[in-house]
Amino acid sequence: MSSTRQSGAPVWAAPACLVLTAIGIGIATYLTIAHYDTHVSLVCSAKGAIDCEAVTTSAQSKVFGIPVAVLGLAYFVGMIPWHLPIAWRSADPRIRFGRLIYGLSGIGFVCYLVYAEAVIIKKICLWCTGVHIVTLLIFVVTVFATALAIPTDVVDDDEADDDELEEAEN
Amino acid sequence: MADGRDDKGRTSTKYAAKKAATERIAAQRAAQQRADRKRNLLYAGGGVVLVIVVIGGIVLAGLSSKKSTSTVHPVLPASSTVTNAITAAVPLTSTTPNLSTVTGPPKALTGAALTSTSGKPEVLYIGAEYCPYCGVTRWPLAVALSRFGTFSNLETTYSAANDSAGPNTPTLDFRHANYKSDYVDFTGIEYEDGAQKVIGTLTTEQNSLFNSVGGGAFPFIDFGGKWAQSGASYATATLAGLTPEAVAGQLTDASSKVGSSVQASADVFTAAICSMDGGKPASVCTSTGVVTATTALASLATASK
Repeated sequence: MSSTRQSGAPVWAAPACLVLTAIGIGIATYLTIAHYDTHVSLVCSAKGAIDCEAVTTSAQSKVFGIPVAVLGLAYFVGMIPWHLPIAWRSADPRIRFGRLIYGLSGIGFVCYLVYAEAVIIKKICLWCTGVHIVTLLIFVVTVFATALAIPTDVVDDDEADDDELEEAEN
Repeated sequence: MADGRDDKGRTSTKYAAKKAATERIAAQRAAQQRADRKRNLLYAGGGVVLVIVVIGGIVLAGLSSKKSTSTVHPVLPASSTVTNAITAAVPLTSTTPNLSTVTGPPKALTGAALTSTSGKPEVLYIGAEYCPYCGVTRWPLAVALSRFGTFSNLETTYSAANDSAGPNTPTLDFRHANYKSDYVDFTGIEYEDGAQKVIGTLTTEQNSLFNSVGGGAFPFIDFGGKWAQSGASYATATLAGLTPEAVAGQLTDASSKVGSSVQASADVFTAAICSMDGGKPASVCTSTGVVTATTALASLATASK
């Protein structure tokens, strides 16, 4: 008897996550360019609590000496393999839970960055908030798509019938 | 015949039993999958709600702590030390400016020229008293404009103490300042005070320029529709911990970080003003520092095309 194990993930999971990842890469690339090129300033309000420059030039804009914008870009690029259709079709628990843990690590970092903006810097960077929202949406889609995915063994139809009938006879 | 009917009957009964068993198994599997999905969705929903609650809690914590740390500095008439230092910095255009300290920098505009009601080219400044970027930018702007005319009623203050981008930045204030020049007009608007309360008014045209050209960011400077500065013209940390008088004391010292930063920005602003009034007065617009800054601005304009 031959069978294949499928993830049972909804078909919308891969395209939805890849589109969101592409948006995340776009914003993170813009923030990275603005970080390194002083002639490129972020299109962003600097009135009241909204101030992108205050956030992107703050002490919290680097983690272990690496600009947060670069970390964000690397995070979204690293997310691509987890959300390819072939990865979503796989029932391998390492991929299934690895994808969840990867998304959760992003959420953890987002929590730190929101804390840095709201509590330490007391300024909000709208572009950074865009990245946070995209990260959260990817996490939400990943969690629900994983919840809906019940791995099943897909067995050759004729053989399956024979097996089940044999079982019924006994 | 009889055996054949029995065989057919047994086969038919056996097939029906097998089919029923198959359907029963399929139904059990489907029910199990539905139950698994329902359980998983509950966990997923709970996890997502938990994440949103945590992020919301952090934001609320930030908002509540912000209200308790608001500080407003008084706006006071500029001392003679400050006004004399600006006057003394005005003729310093004979040295090559260190343009590496200049941030922003101004961007070339291609729209209609900005003129005042008197018909002269207009420099429009829109800022806020709490804003540290405005704090550092007012110094070179005042020096640059003083090369074309005269200020009166200049005041001094500090940016907001709770603004982490540059708390307590010592600065000038244009709220009550008057400016007279034969070459250009200056409109200086402090739109918000140190507590971010709106104190200024913008005309429809000013508001349109502020949002469409300046991106709604303080400070915004429109040099006659030719150039626009959005944001600080040098690092806010340059003036950290100083008083307006201490800044004034270093304005003419090109070897100091404060003096070189203010002078370089002032030369860039001067070059922008020269481009809007036809290069007058020549004594200013053909000076070494301004010519260097003009070349730098021209290369910026070329690069942006």
